[in-house]
Amino acid sequence: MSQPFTVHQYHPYTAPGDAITQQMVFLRHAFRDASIGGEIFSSVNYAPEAYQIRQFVPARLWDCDLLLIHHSQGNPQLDLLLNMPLNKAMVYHNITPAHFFRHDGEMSRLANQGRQQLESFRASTSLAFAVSEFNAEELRAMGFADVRLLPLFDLKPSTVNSPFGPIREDGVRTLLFVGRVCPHKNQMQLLEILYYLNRFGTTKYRLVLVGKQDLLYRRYLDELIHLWKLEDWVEFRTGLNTVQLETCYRAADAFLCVSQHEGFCVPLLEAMRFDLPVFANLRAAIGETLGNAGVQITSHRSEQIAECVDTILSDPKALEVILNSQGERVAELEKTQCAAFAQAQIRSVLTQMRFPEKKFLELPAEQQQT
Amino acid sequence: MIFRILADLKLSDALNEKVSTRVDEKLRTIGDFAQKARRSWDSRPSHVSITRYAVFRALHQEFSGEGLPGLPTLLGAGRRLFRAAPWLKKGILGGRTK
Repeated sequence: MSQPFTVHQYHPYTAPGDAITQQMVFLRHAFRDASIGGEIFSSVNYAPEAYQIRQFVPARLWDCDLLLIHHSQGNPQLDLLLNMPLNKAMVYHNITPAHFFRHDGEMSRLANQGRQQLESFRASTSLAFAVSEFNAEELRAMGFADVRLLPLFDLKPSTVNSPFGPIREDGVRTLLFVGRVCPHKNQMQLLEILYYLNRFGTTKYRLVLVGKQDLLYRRYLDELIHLWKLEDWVEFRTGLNTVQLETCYRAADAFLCVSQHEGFCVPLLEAMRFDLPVFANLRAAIGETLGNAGVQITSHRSEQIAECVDTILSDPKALEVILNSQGERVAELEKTQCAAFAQAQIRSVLTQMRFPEKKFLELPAEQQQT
Repeated sequence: MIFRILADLKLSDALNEKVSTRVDEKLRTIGDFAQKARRSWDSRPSHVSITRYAVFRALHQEFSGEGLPGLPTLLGAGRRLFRAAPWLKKGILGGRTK
């Protein structure tokens, strides 16, 4: 009987509700179900004890067959990690371009550092995992030879909607967006759309914005709300647990996303799971996540988007078509967003490592010579 | 085309036509309204105080990158002030000020 495999994971920062932390926990469970051991390490941990996240100490990594380094922004420990005599692979979550953080020097620095560090990764290992084909393409364009997909979470166990069903009020339609309140998520345009909807729509609309907040941007949104007199129609919610988030989805009539940058956009999937019609523009990875489902907005003009939302939400036939297409898309994504796919992907890498026909974890030949 | 419902392109076309027609019908109103709304950013609406409007303009410049006709110097100075005195930013956010 061969010795069991061990796959450790590292990310500089872990916190509850953070998409990367959630994926790390999901992968650890999936790997353990396939008899692949491993721990999650982080340098700064805000997650509760139940997450079982270990403080990063280099000596604790000695026993692993593969170290997965999750990468989403500048990693202060990267040089140390890349110099360790271990097999490593990057899990790429995409890096939000620094120009979205002009107002925040630290975030801007981390975004720039994250991009520069991609080059260090490429020089150390040709193997990388990505959470979407959009991210994978970006890595291939940078010269990563072997890029594979890894799921973000297990879609299957959560496909059953809440037994309480929708809790929607009459008279007012609720639009929902879930995502950090920050410039690249473009909540500013959501407010503008709401403004047009409440001015020209067939009924009144409420906008619920769920997510952690960039304080300066939130202040900007507050000023816009005051300027447009939207105080009674916008709600911000932050620090929600799973049940509260589920309630937000159940209480909404539609999910509206006009983000300028998304590496995958998990909330689109959550909205489809809760049978909410999804309206989204086609920037970055959004088109890939939606597939043929939902309403894919091609216009960037707020008044046209408002008109589109109002017209479609008032058309039962259109809603039926959209919800059917979303149901099909969720079923399609269940095949890749599941534990079995994660296990298969990591097993193929580990087997290849132990019985190396192709030494993809070593440096490219031209770099070995130098 | 304003949007696509890929699952049913026929329906998508019909609805797009409907939306376009409605937008056309309202074009003058919406156009006027949009202009008015945008104009309201360039001059202080009556329900917004002078201080609040100044804060809004500085933040708007920061996040939209749109210039303010007639007042670029003031905005540039505002941005420089924010960078030179981060505590002012904190003050605007409601934090402790020195």
